[in-house]
Amino acid sequence: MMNRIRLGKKGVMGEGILMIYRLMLISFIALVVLGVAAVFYDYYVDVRDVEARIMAVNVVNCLSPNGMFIANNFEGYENKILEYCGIYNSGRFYINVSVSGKKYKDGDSGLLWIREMYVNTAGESVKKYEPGYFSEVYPVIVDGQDEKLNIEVLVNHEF
Amino acid sequence: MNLQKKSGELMYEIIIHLILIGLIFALFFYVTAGRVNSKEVKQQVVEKEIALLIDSAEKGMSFSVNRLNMNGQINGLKIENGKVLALIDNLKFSKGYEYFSKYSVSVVEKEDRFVVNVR
Repeated sequence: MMNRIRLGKKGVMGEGILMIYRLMLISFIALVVLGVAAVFYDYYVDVRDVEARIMAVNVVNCLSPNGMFIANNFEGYENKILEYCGIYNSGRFYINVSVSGKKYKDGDSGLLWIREMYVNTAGESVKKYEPGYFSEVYPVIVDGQDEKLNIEVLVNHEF
Repeated sequence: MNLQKKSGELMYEIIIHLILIGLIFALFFYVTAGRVNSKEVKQQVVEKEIALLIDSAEKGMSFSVNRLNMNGQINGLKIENGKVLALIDNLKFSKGYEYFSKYSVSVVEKEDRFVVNVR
């Protein structure tokens, strides 16, 4: 009689363990399907190149309003031109401006080699981490002379 | 009597089992449906489009965003901590997308649209 009761208890415990095992198996299958769906239906809208272009236009308009570049205005702001322009840099941007031999910049220059690395070696799967890039040369007037303003903007991902 | 009791217990276990499996699958279908309907992608599109419009706007400009547009029904549009947050259809959460405009940005909610002001 005692043996029968013990066997019964073992049976109930066995059922319980089996049930947990089944539930875990179902949850695992559901998670796998969800993971596959997430990979297939995930899509990243990349606007960093456009952001780089807009940022370049904003910075050029700020540094040389009406095409006049007055270097004295930026004294002390050579490494923080975004601050001079009143634009908040969240750490995603790198700006490099050069006019008549002088350089002005803002942000982390490490983005340059990150971009180089992605351009040279990265495959399609990691493409979404490649920084956005825009580079342009604008004509400006510096002390009455025609000069060129080179601007380079890099925008990092937001993840 | 004992047999009846055992079959009752078995039935009870099966029902609990089925309810739990049903719950897991309901949750799974709910999350998967969200992905398949690509609401998150639409949300991304709306937020990034608005952020780009803000970035390229000059001081004093304003633009309207219709509640019902090609990306779905926009139930909420907010500007918080330098980010644009849009709630599309029945989505309750958004990470937002940051803009870099130096101007002050605000959103006014109208009946059928949102007006974004850049001041």
